[in-house]
Amino acid sequence: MDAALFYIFAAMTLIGALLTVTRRNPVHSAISLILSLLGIAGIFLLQAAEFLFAVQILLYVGGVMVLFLFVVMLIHLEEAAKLRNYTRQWPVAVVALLAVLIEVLAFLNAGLPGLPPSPSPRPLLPGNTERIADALFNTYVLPFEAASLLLLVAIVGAVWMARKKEVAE
Amino acid sequence: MNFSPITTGHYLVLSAALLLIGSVGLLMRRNVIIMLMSIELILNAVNINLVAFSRHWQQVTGQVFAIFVITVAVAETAVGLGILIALFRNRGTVLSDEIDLLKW
Amino acid sequence: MVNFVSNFWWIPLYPFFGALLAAVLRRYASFIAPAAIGASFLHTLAVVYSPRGGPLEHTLYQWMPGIAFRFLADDLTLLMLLIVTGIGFLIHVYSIGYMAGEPGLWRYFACLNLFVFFMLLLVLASNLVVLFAGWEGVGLASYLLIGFHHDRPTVNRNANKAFLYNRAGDAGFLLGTLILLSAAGTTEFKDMNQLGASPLTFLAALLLALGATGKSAQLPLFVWLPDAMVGPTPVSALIHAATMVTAGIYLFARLAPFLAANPDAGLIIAGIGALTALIAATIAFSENDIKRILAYSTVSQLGLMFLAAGLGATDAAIFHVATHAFFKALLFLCAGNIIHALKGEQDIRYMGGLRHKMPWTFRLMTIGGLSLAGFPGLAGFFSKDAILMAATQSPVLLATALIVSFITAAYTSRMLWGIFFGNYDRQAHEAQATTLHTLWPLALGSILAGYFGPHLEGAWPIMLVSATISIAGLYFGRNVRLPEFLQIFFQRKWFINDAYETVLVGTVTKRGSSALNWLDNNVIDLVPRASGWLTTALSLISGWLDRYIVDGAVKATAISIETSSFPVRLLQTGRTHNYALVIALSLAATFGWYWLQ
Repeated sequence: MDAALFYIFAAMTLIGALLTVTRRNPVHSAISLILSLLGIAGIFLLQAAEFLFAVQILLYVGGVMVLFLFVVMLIHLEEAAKLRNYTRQWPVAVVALLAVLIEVLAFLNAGLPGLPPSPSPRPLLPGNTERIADALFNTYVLPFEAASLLLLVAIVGAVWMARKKEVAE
Repeated sequence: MNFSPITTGHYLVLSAALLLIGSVGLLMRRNVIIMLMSIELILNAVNINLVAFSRHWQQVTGQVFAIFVITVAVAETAVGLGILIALFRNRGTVLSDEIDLLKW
Repeated sequence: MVNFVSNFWWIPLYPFFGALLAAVLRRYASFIAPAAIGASFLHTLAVVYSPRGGPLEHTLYQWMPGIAFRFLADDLTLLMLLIVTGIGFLIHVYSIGYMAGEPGLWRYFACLNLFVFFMLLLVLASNLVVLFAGWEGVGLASYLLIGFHHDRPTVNRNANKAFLYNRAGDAGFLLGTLILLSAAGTTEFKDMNQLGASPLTFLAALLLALGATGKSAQLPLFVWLPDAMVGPTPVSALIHAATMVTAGIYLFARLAPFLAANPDAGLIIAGIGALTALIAATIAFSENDIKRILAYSTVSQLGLMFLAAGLGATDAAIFHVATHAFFKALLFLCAGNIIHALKGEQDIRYMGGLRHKMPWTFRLMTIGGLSLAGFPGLAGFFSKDAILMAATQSPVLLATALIVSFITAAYTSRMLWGIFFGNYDRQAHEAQATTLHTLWPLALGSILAGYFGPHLEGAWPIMLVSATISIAGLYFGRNVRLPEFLQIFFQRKWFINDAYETVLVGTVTKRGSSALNWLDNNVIDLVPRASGWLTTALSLISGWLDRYIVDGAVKATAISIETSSFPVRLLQTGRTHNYALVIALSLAATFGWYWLQ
């Protein structure tokens, strides 16, 4: 059962990702990205990370992707969509990425057998959210505060960047 | 169904594949919006990796880290889209080939 | 009480300090200078009349091996000291009156004292080097004193002439000294006199004799003495009659044994002396200027002294030095009185009948003149006979000496007749005070000095002959007129001076100035010109270095950086996806490198 779910969610993720990077129309790309993110949310759920599953849906899909769609609609991209889709460097990129792929797989192949086994079989532990909260507000309170500062900066920055220029009097 | 049990390794492979696809989008697409979306994909791949290991070691640290990644990704997306809009207003294009003012 | 004998070497110091003092306390110079000489004279007397065992010696300082500052006082020295200090004192006193009112009088007295200092150094010398120091010093003093009236036309030139002819002789003196130094190892007279005959000593003797001809105004270097008469008359009296010019004879006397060892050199000296005596006597007969007559007379008499010394009779020569000092000084000083009285007139053709207006001068000058002419009984008679006795060794020299005696008497009488007799009407006043009374001792000496000289054995024939000649000459001198061409020849001084002037002086001054010009342009200016050229060349090189090397280095750096950065520049495409590609490639490379480990 686990396996099946894993493969279903994995397929969702990968297919969505592939579609994202290949579509001409940015709106299609955005929709495909939503699909991919949903797949990832599923993966999280399979890993018993319920909080993250919820956060992924709420934030990523509900926030980021909506934002993306807003921007896409804002920018009139029909003419651009008719032009060449891929950069001129794509052969080199393909080669590089293939190399990376092979290397990563080789690493995994070499490393995985040596992976120490997990301490206990994989139960579904209760209180995931509480545990995260506990960790977040005790051990990792500093990064937490820093993150909030980062968000502040990002908000201010985004607002500033996107503002309309004042008309000179 | 008798698939092999899903080990941590599967998740890692999945994460690697997602990373690669995201990189392809980043390197090979001209449209800046698509590039930003590809960056999201990469970040999510990292999240999958973190969560997998969090599960493997029976600790919550990985998930906490993943929360921070998401936070940063959101902030970065917001700012990036703001830049994109400003760029579009100034240059009239969202194609990265044509945005090369810092060229030699 | 000071021991005058052992401190005999102080004698030159009085006039030395006298000169310094006179230069400092100028108002009292005319008192200081004579006082200094007086002190020297007194000290000399003290030494003479003290008992001493043999010659006195004193070494001040051993300078080099063979050369020392050393003094010697034997009988010869003491005689010379007496003459120099005695007559020097008289002339100093005479100068007080004669030179009164002259501007720069302190210079005169200071130089005069300086002269006496050097002369005393000369006669007190124990070796050739100290003698040479005095020798040069008197030459310097002579130059200074001849040039005393430096604002008059020919004075400076004549002073230079005197000095330069002296120096020419000094070159010979120095060479001779060096040869003897190398031959004997020292320059002491007693060692010189041990040297035997050799080609080297013969040469040295001739060179020393050359020096003597410069100092004592003989051939070939005598032409300076007549021109030196532009100096003040007392100077002519002291330096150019009584003392400096006798330095050459003194040298011969000192080196008498040495000369005796080189009789050929002695003969040459004697021959020079005789020839000079003859030439000078003839010229003296044709001169009209009082002082020049006396000057040529001095040259002629010195020639006779050379004659005697060369033949080995240094006693006779020194005897004549002594008597000549008396009567020649007397003659010069009387001439000075006449010139003063006639307000500067020196030409005897414009004089006459002075015996009434200047009776004492007349008498004194007559005494001196008769002594010069060798009138029997006077000092000059005896000393000249001594010379004639020595000259009997050679018929030629004897004949020359007799002719010279005749002419001497002739020109003397011509001079005396011209001055004191006749009817030329001029205002003149007799000499007074110091300019008169200092002459008495000289006159006395001119009369009596002859009786203190060396005894002459078997001299009666000679005495008779010379007496006859003397009287005859005195008689003829009044009236004899020479044929025209001889007159001119003698008046032009046998053209010797003219020859010197054209050949030496003309060449040197003309060629000399162009040579100096060349020297100035090419040698002296060489340094600035060379440095200018060098600076230009260096600046050209520096400029080239700066343009091509220094700037080149800078440009090369710039160009190299530009060139090497060009490919790197191309990496900056400005396109983000290119940069991302670089990241991916780097990642691949890094993984690959780790994979291959």
